[in-house]
Amino acid sequence: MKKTKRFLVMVGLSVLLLTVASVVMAQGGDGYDDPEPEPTPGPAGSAAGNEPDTVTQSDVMAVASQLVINPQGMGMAIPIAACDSDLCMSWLRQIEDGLKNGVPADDIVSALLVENRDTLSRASDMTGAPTSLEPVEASSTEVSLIAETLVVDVNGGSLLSTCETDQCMAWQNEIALMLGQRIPRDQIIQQFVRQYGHAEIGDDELPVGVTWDDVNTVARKMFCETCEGVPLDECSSVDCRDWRTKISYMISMGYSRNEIMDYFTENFGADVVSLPRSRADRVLSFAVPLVVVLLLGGVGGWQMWRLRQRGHHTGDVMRRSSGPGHRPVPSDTDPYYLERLLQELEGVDQ
Amino acid sequence: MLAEIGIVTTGLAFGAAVFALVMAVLGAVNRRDQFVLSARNAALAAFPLVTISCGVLVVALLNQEFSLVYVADTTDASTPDFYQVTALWGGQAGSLLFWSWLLAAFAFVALLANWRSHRRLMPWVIVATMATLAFFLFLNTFIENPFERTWETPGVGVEEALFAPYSNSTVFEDPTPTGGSPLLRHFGMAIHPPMLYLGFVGFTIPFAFAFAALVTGRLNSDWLRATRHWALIAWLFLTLGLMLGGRWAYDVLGWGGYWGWDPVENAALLPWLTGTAFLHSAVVQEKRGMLKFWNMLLIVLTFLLVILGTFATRSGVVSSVHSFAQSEIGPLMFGFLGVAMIASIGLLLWRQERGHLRGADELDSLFSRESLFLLNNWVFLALTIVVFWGTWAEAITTILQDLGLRDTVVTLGPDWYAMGTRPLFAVIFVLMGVAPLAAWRRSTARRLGQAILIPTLIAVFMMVLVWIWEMYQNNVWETLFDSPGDFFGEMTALTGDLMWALLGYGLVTFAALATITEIWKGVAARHRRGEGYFVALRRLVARDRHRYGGYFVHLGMVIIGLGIIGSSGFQQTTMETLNQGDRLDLGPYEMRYDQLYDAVAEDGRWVTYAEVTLFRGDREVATLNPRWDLFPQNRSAIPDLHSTLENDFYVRIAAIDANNPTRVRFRAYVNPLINFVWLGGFILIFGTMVALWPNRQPRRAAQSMSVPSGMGGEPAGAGK
Repeated sequence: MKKTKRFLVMVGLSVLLLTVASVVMAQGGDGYDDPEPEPTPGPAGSAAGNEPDTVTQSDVMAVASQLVINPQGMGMAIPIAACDSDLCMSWLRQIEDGLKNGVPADDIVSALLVENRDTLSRASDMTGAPTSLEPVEASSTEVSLIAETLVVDVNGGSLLSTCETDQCMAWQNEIALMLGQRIPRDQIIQQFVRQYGHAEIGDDELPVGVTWDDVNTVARKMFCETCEGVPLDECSSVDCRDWRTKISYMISMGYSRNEIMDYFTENFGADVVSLPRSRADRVLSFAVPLVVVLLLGGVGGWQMWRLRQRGHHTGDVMRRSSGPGHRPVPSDTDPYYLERLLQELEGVDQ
Repeated sequence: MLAEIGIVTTGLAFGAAVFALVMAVLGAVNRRDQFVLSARNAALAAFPLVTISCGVLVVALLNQEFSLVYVADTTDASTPDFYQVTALWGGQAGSLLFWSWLLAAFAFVALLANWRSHRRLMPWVIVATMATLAFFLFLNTFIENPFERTWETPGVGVEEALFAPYSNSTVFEDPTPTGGSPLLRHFGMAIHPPMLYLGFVGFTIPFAFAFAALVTGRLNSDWLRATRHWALIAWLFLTLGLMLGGRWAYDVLGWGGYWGWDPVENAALLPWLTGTAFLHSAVVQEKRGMLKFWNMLLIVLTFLLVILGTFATRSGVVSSVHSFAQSEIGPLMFGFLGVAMIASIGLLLWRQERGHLRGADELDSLFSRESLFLLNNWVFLALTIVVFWGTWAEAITTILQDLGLRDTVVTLGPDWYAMGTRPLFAVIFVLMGVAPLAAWRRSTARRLGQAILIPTLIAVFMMVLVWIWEMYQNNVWETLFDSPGDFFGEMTALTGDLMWALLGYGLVTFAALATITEIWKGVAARHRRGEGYFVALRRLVARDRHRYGGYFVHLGMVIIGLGIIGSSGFQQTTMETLNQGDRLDLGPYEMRYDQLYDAVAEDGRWVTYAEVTLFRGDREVATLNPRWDLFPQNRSAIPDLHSTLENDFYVRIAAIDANNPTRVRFRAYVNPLINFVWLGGFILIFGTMVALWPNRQPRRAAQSMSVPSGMGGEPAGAGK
């Protein structure tokens, strides 16, 4: 009984709300051209961290770099910035909180040293003591292996290994230095993700946090320039695969669907998308058929009006037709039509 | 020897077509009956000659005569027999020859069937059909000859030519066949092109009669009656071609859909749209003697769009997965299109200008059936313009860019078509429902409103029900009870997403109810006179097959509409990478990836296929085998599907991990109601067959075809 009542309430509400909703949704767009950029799915600290009035990861790391974990036995002193244990994370959070509250960096460092005097030391105090094993020279292969797993916000989103800007070279050098200090690979990657907002490639050839469905949502609105007429999400060519990968990088960097499509149209031409991106092209695409259809509609309306006027004056037409010099009773009346008429009249008689 | 026979018969057929064309013109202009008879005989002779050409090519394909370039390009040693035969239309040259054969066959039958009854139109019917046939045979003889061979010349090497390039050249018997596209090895694709060609070629015959009527000035409905069945047959084949093409795309291309607004698909849709408008408009001329200009215009447009579609497919000017390779026949075909357009449109305008195409053109009411048919013509024409622009915008803007008049090329894809065509399809469905309920001649808004009231109310109720159901399916109702603040937002978002689908369901429901009501009225009236329901339906349909066949076609379209809305508006898709034993959730289904196998198929192709198990709830419903067919040059991802009336679960292999070959990425779709598309297609075919079924001619009508004196003949003032 209760269920029935609930159902009836739902039905009643549905009818009411459908009416209201139809008015509201009529004001909505087509769902294609998002007026606002979509929420950033990228890694933490990528976009928000760059705002001037907030504490950046770099600020936190700059303070954290002053602290190292005391060497144990013959081990090395590990900078807390390069450590991702729970304890290190809690120290980093404390630093971040302190900076957010406007506490000077030196005070934060001092406080941490006091609280953790058995564990932490100033990095500058460790002069002479081994802060790590002797630095080693990292091979380019080792650097590449890490650079291949990091997506950087250059040229819309690229693998660090394929990026050749000065900034990318600096990052690769930094990786080499960290490898030289024998910092574990995972820690280096995590630090880059935290510090610079890079995205890490996961185990499905995609940046962590991005799914193939995210990629296909954008790709199905696009066409590859080499596969004629094949939607990008369905195309199996190498070029298409590269484009989809690029889209995944851009999504990981926080680009919206519209920004991604704009990037591709700017770089590969306006014909790679299913619906023109530029306002002028889009207006043209709809205006041409609309103008033609409206013109034809005008002609159609005029034709119907004219035929309707004739229908109003059928008697006149007949009278005119019967007069000399006017259009005679149509001589093209066809025999089949007359025959049908006769048949139908015959049917009426019967 | 085979090649020589083919070359000679194709050349002779071309000669026969040209001879028939010239003699028909001379006979008609000079009123020389012998010339016309000679033209007819030549036109009839073209058919057996092209038949021999086609037969020779089929024999060469079956015998794997790889010395013929066409055979080597479209088949190889592993091609199954069935696909060796269908390779006749698998390449440019063969398909042109097949086109010519169909046209020769249609012309053959049309000439024999109408020679006595429409004697005066015949010379110009021959002119129109033989001009078209001669053009296609010209292409086959001089540009794309399927009997071209590979020749070997000592000291020179191997080259392709029709005849021996040097006196010491010999036929190279052992070239390496490249085979045809593996994607074409599908039953749907094997019979889809012939169906399309039958549709294309079929519309040439009504056009030829219309052309003859325009030239001779015999503009009464004779030409219309002579060609009505031809138009209906052509329309049926074109519809079948479109449906089969859609099914092939669904089964083979692996995109999860059947229609991608591809330029070549559109090239076949355009004549279908104008052909459909013509079939409706012709009814008005038959019933009321109206819309003579319209009918001429529509059949001329249909023919021109057929040629344009052929040009689009074969010239390479539009980007499509379906196109033949770019060929030098493009400019020639464009030239032929231009000549056909100038001749037919020029004649049409000339006749219109002189008032020869005026009929009993008057509308007694804007709500009468003829008014709605007229509106129907306009809407179909508008839809044709929209699709035409969408198809050719890229080519047009490319030309403008080349001329320096534009900076960018505009390419229009499915999103654009969805926005551009939906409103017009909506109007067509409204007209489909309203027009059968409107009376001929006199009708008022009030009467029409009364007739459509109940179907409209039920359609609105249906929309509300679907909306409630979707709200339930998407757990929006839960929000109302759990988090009322979010309810309105979620409800609005969902309704926005569903707007077109809801409207579509409302419209197809309305059209279906209106059509069923109209049939039911007739059945009920007969039932009241004591006939059983089935007998009443049968006799009702037998009494006016055109009309009720048309209603069945409408019902077929309604069901297709349901399928299209369901499968496009509610499609779900996902792509995930799975290890063996992993599961993927989509809609009501859960798919488990079990195993990956390699195998060699009977025809020698390598196959990698996955075995997946499909569950619905706890119940195992199917084992599916999506696969990759591996060929030397490429691979095809062939999907597999579990099909029910409610929906299809459709899955294909998207990628296989190179480092871990058992790790597979799958793309899966759930396509609701998609089988309604194919079901509607069958009903549509049934309806067309009903309309095509010949009526028993009343004796009086048969006798009176030669009567009444003074009633036939030329319209006032008409002349050549």
